[in-house]
Amino acid sequence: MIKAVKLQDLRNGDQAYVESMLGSDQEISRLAALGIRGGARLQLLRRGSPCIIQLEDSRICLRTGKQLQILVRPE
Amino acid sequence: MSTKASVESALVAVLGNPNTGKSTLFNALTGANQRTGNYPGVTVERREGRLKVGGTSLQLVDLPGTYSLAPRSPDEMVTVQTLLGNTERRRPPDLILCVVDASNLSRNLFLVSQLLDLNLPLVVALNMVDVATKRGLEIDVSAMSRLLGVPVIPVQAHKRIGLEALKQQLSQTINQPPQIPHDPFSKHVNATITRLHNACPDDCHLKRFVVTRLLFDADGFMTSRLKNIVGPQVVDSLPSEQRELAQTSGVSLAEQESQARYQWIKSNLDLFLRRPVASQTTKTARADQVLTHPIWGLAIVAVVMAVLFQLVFFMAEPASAAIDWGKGLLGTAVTQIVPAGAFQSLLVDGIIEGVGSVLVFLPQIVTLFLILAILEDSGYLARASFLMDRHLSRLGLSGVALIPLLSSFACAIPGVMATRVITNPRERLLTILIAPLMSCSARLPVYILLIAAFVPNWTWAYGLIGLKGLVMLAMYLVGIVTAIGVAAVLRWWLIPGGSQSFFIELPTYKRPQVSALVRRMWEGGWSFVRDAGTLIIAVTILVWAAAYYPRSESILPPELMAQVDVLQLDYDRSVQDQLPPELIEERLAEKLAVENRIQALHLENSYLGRAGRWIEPVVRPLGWDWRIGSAVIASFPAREVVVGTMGVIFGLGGEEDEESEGLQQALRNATWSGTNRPLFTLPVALGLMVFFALCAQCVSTLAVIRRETNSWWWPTVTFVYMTVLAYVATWLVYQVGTYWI
Repeated sequence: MIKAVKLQDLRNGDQAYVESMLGSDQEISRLAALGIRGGARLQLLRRGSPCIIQLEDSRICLRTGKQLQILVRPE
Repeated sequence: MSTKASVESALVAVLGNPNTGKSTLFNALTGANQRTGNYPGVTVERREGRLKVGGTSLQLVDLPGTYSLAPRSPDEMVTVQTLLGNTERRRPPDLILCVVDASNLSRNLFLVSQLLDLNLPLVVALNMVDVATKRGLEIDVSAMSRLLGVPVIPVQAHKRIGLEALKQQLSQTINQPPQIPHDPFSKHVNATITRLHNACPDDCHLKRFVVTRLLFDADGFMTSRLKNIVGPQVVDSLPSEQRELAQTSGVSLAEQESQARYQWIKSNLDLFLRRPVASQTTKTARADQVLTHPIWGLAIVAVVMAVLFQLVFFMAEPASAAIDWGKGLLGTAVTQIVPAGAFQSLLVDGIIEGVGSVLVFLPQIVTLFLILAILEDSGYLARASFLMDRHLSRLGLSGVALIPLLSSFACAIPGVMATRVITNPRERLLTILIAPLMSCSARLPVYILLIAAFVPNWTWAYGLIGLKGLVMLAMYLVGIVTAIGVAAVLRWWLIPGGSQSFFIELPTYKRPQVSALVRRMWEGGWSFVRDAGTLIIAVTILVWAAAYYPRSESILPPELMAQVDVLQLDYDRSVQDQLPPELIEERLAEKLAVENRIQALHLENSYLGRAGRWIEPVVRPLGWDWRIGSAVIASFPAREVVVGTMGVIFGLGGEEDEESEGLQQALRNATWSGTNRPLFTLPVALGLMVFFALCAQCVSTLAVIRRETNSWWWPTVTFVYMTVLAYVATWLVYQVGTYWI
């Protein structure tokens, strides 16, 4: 089983599943509405802060706040 | 049947995710039958349009694009309040039109799922089906409609395909609630919802929807806004219900909602959507390889922004020349028709001046809105925001703030209006508040005049670096550095709790539609003229009156009056006798010099002059006398007015401009009254420049801030903080400068 890592530790082009999200309920529900939620499959297109992720059919530019952590499990 | 509009039309709320083509569809449906306005107390624009299908009249309300119904600001609350009928209309919409992006169904159905909780008649417009087909997605529309329990109509809004079917469906669906009850939640959650539902008072509309939204209201924002509607019983039991739900499942409430809804989405999506096996590299993906590249992408942003800035800046030049020409032409016409006196002066210096100072901004505003619409509609704006976000996030802003701030270097008015692209209301407010600190083109005349008159012409490095140029650069930096400081303070005030996550969707690139561009230009220009224009004209007339009244010939020394008559006679005779032109010129100059002295005396005696003397004790620590004080007060409508006013005060007439040698000389020669002490020293001139770099002497900016924030509070805050900063900085420059020099 591959270990879960932080989203920002992925390399460009890596695909991963969202393992868990740590942060305020409010931020998590906002991201969930966008489709960034536990179990979602994503691909990191540009790493850094902000980063670009591909999520199913949409591309999202995302800068996570200090209180939010997204853990992913690379494929 | 009476043709009067006695039968109220059905209200249709139009919702959808951002970038679904919702506005395009709204415009295609309602055409020119639109009007815009404001919701009380928020900055969201309210856009409504009418549509007639057969005998049915529909009133469409375009709500701001949103991914979910979980508001955390008054601006976002507008959508929920409209759905609940807590507006002036006092009833929920009769029908909901939800626009979804066919090429991105999974995410779009999240909002649809929340809307289905309303159990109101709902029509789904499946937009951009052409894009979906191109990507190899196959959607079984009738299966989708059956599974959701609501009509689904495929459309291509930008090509106006499918509109007729959609219109027919809208008129048929009124009074037709969804065919199947929407139930994405587990039994346990449903039991909680039912308990809360039963605790709701009878007069609460859409109980089930309201309590569901409140149950997942993470930070209590919505609860605080709706507590009067759901009653104390629900408000009191909500915290314990939320706690209980989170504890028994071990998953946070926020995730429970998204898990349940995405579960529902996935189970249905598989039944009506077929995806291609291998995903193809799209054009958008290829373009993003370059356009979001850390080096090439940034270089392209720099070029695009340079073009934008130059265009806005250079639109200002011919526009103000044309307006000046028009003002001159009209002014001459008026002076020939209307006899000299208060009325003539009101027409020329009050009304024509005021209307001119509104019109002068129009070309810039329209140009900026055109470029902005192209950047936004094409999808490029989101990419530029991604690249700039890294830098702007340090100021508490996101990348989207780039364009408003950059445009403000040309003029803060289009800059403040451009903040409409910023979706986060607090960030938008922060940007609005610091935008006027960017040195705009109206400051240039003040800088040019004072630098030319007082800054020594020292150069270094074989004339490549000059002190005059450095001082000019310093004035721009004063604004930028102050803006960074102010942003840090305001951020602490407006955006407490540290940095929030920021996200923006990078939409598929597409060609902007000409009709949409024209509409945006028109809306930008019209909202400025309608909402800010009247205020600008009113203030211009007020300041004119202050500079004109009380007018009395009796304050003029009799010998001066006699002198005017003699000089006028001399001049008339010299023209009549066809004396040599240089002699005529000489007599004209003598006459004008005396007339200008009279004008200066009138100004000194006017309310403006009195106000200048009244505030002299306040401005004396800045090294100013009453004349500078009066000129600064007179420049409240616009900074550049200070140059003309100084021309009048220092006895040169109002036609002087910043390049005028005469005005520069007059300023150098001016002394404190009754002494030989020069009025303008280098520290005074530098101080005055710093004052104009930082002050809010621009009624147009304040009027636009009022318009965009829909309140008097924020323009007041802007004026007060900028004036205080300007005063303190000027005082420092003068005191330190005088001590050193």
